[in-house]
Amino acid sequence: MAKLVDCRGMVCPQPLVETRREIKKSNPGEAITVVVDNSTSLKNILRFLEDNGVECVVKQEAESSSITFNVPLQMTQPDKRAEEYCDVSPKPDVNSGFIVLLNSATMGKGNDELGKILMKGFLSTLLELKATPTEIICYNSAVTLALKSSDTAATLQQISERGIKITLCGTCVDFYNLRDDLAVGQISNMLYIAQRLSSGVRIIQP
Amino acid sequence: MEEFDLLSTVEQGGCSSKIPAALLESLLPALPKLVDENILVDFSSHDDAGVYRISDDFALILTTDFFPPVCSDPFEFGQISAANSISDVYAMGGEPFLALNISMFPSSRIPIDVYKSILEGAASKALEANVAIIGGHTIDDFPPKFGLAVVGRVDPKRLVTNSGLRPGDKLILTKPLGTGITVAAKRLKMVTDESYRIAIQWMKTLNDRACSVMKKYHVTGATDITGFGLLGHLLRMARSSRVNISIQAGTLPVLPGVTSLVNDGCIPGAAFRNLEYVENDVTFTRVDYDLKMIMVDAQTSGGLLMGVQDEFANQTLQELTDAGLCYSRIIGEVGEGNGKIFVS
Repeated sequence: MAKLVDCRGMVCPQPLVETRREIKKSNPGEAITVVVDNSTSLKNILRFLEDNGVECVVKQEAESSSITFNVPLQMTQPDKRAEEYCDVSPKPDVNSGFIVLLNSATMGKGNDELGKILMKGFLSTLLELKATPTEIICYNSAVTLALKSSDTAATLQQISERGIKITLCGTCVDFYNLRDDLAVGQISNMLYIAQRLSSGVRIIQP
Repeated sequence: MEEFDLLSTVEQGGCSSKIPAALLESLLPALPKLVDENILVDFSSHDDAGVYRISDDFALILTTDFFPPVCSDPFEFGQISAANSISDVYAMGGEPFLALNISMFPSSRIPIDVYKSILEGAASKALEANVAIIGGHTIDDFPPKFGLAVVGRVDPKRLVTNSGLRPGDKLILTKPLGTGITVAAKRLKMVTDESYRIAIQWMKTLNDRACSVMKKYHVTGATDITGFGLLGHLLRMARSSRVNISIQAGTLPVLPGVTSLVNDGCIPGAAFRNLEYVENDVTFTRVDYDLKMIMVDAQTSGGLLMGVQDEFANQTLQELTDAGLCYSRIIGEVGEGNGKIFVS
């Protein structure tokens, strides 16, 4: 007498799960009959058995179908390789990588001429980093770095071509009246900037 | 708010609920259509989204996607659904910027707070992607369904399409497979909390980082993996790029717990449907049965699959990993041919 697995009233993939469970519990050669009441489950179980080289007999009845087969000697075993484990980066909901925040056209406090040279050097070095930032946000006098006439525009252009977003504070652009002279960058508002800064992504401020 | 389990409303969810690919393909070609030289991509190439040229360096990407719940929590359903809808823009190398909500919600059967949470989840994900949701449409219907219609922009010269794979490209996949299996297992209470949480995290993850890396390396062919499973989407790419694809099954990234779930018989119906769609064009050589079924598992908000020039492949992989996409793998390569896939 075949063992009965009654899957009536179940939807995919539960009938297959019950079938598989019974196969694992049984010895090779034992007969199992699975009863299902929907055509999708029937089709999927048949396909599963066929793919695993198991022959079966199907009986169609008015309200249900039964599939009878003998448990094979061998069936696919779970892959024993250790499963890799890798969670999404620590803060999964934010852009990993980092944002560079520039709050001035110069780098560091002290001589402004030196500060300008340092900023220019910083921007061109960014491109050589192994991990490049996802975005550069400029506010206050840092927006002048994106001016067509500035000696940093070309570098920022290159950075932008590498897919790194350059965001300019709109209020600052308007304050300095630069809107028509920008070579690069996307003008944004304080809400956006505040959101980006509070999103938990790492912020680098030279 | 009382906890409401959205998964209790559906038998299948997410991209599992798609109409079979073959059926859809039989309907679309017969439709009358407007001819306009500015239509750069429409559904005839089975791409991720439509693309319309506005000027020489500006084109719009339009796409929509919606589905029934794929997880228990409404806020997370909103997030996942939004990430999934927006993904089609990233898959084409574009930058999403506008969206509309598309919702069906049974206001008399489920507390309206649940709907509020779905919308809030979607809004938070849209903000993260720098996308403004500027409208929407809601119908009273059971079970609930949600998604976005998304508009993105792209420089047409830098458009990334299904048909852009080149022989010699290495194929990189940026997210682990098995979300359909994990969600089905959640419904049957077969999955550990930890595995379920990891699957949810990946479904919530935007493909924006994958897209920025892809653009850096001048990828021309890519797609995102969703309802047709890895092999279904690979086949569409192989056909429209007129190439053959070989996949090394052993390299595929798979979510934790999924291999043993499949071995326990947890194979959603959509996987069988996808297998039927691809099997005439796919040759399997010594591929484990369980792994084969994972390759046809319908994904929700899956990763980008991109073809990268051989010499940049390792560098691209490294950058994807550095960006936190730690499951990124080189899974195969593109060869000369005409739409066949070989898995070994």
